Amino acid sequence: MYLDNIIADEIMNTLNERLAEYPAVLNRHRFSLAYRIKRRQTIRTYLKGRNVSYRSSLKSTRYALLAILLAVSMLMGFCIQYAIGRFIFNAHREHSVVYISGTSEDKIKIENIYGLPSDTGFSLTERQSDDKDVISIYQSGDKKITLCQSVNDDISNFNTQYSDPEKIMINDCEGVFISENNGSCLAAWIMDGYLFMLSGNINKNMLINLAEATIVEKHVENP
Amino acid sequence: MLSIYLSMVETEEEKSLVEELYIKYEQAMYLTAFSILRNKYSAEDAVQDSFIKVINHLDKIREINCNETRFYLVTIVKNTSLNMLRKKQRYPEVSIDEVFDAGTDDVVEDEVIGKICSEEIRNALKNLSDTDYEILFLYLVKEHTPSEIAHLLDITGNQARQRIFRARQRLIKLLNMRGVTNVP
Repeated sequence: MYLDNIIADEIMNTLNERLAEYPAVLNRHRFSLAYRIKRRQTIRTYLKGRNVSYRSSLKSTRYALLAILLAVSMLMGFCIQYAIGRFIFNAHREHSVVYISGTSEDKIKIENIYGLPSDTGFSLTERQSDDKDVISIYQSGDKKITLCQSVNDDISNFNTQYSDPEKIMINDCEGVFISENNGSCLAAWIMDGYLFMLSGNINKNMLINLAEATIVEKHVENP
Repeated sequence: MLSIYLSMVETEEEKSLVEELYIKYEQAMYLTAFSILRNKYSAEDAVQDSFIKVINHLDKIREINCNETRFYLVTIVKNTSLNMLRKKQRYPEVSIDEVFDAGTDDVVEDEVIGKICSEEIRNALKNLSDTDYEILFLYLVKEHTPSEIAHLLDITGNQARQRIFRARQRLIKLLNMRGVTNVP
C-alpha cells in the first residue's frame, strides 16, 4: 500500500533519532566463558548449514591472506608463538588464538558426559549439550564455575590479557592454567580425547582440585 | 607453523554473516539488555536468545553495517529482555491494545492518503511510542509477517496482528491531529 511505503521510508529516516535513545558503548563488556562457548556453538551450527561451495570459493583468497599474515607477522612481530604441550599459543595483545594439535585418540562426538561429583560441594545448576559440546554450570554459595567439555576443534581462544599461561597436569594429562581478572581463572586440559575447560571465580588450587575430580557421569546413548 | 596459519586464516576468512553480526553488535545489544535486566548473566542470555532469533531470519539482514540492522537487533534484544523481566517479576502484562479505544479512533485510511506529506509522517513517527514504532519497523521495513513478528517478540500471532493494526491506527490518528486528513 502507498501509505505503508511512505511510512517505511520515513521510519528509515528517523532511525538515527531512535537509536540515539539506546545506551552508547563506552566500556566493552567481557562476556563470560559460557556465553562465548554458546556463541561459538551458534556460529558453528549456522556454518554447518552452509554448502561446501562457500568454503571452496574462499580457497582462492585464503593463500593471499596467508601470505599477508606471514608478512605482517614477520615485519611487525605482533604474534608471539609458544607451545605448552599440545596447546600452541599465538599470543596477541589481549587474547591468544590457541591451536590444539590433534591426535588419533581425539573424539569426534561426545560419547560420555563428564561432570563434577557432588562431594566437591558444587551443585549442577545448568547444562547444555549437543554432539560436540557439553557446558555445565556449577555453583557453591557465591562461587560459580563452568565446565566445558568439547571435541577438539583445533582452534580456541583464551584470554591472556592478564597473565601468561602456565603448564599444569590434570590427572597426568597436560594442561594450561590462566589467571584472569576479578579473581577468575581458567584451566584447560585434554583428557580421554576431549578438550576440557574449567573456569570460575575461585583460586588456582581449588580449580585444579576440581579439574582433577572431573569424572564420567553418563554415557551418551547413540552418539 | 604453516598449518597453524592456515587454520588461523581459515577462521579469519570464514567471517560468516553471523560472526560479523556478533562482532559488530553484541556489545550494544548487551548494554541494552543490561539496562533492562540489571544482571550480567541474564543480559548475556538475552543477547544469545536474540541472536538465535535473528539467525532464523537472516534473510532480513540486507547489510551488516547500517542503522537498519542495528535497530533491528536492539529491538529484538529489548523485547527479549522485557519478556525475561516480566517472567522474572511475574508482572501481569497489561497489553497496550487493551487501553486503545478502537471504537472512536477508526480512521479511514483512504482519506489520509489524499494529503500525504512525508514530513508530516516523519513528525508523527517521532511522537509514536517505542512499541508502535518498533512493530511498524518490523512489519513495514523488515517485512516480517505477523507470525514472524510473534516469534521475534514472544507474543501470539493474534497479538502481533493486533499490534500492527493498532500501531498504524495510532499513526494515522496522529496524522489526523496534524490536519493531514479531512476527518473531523
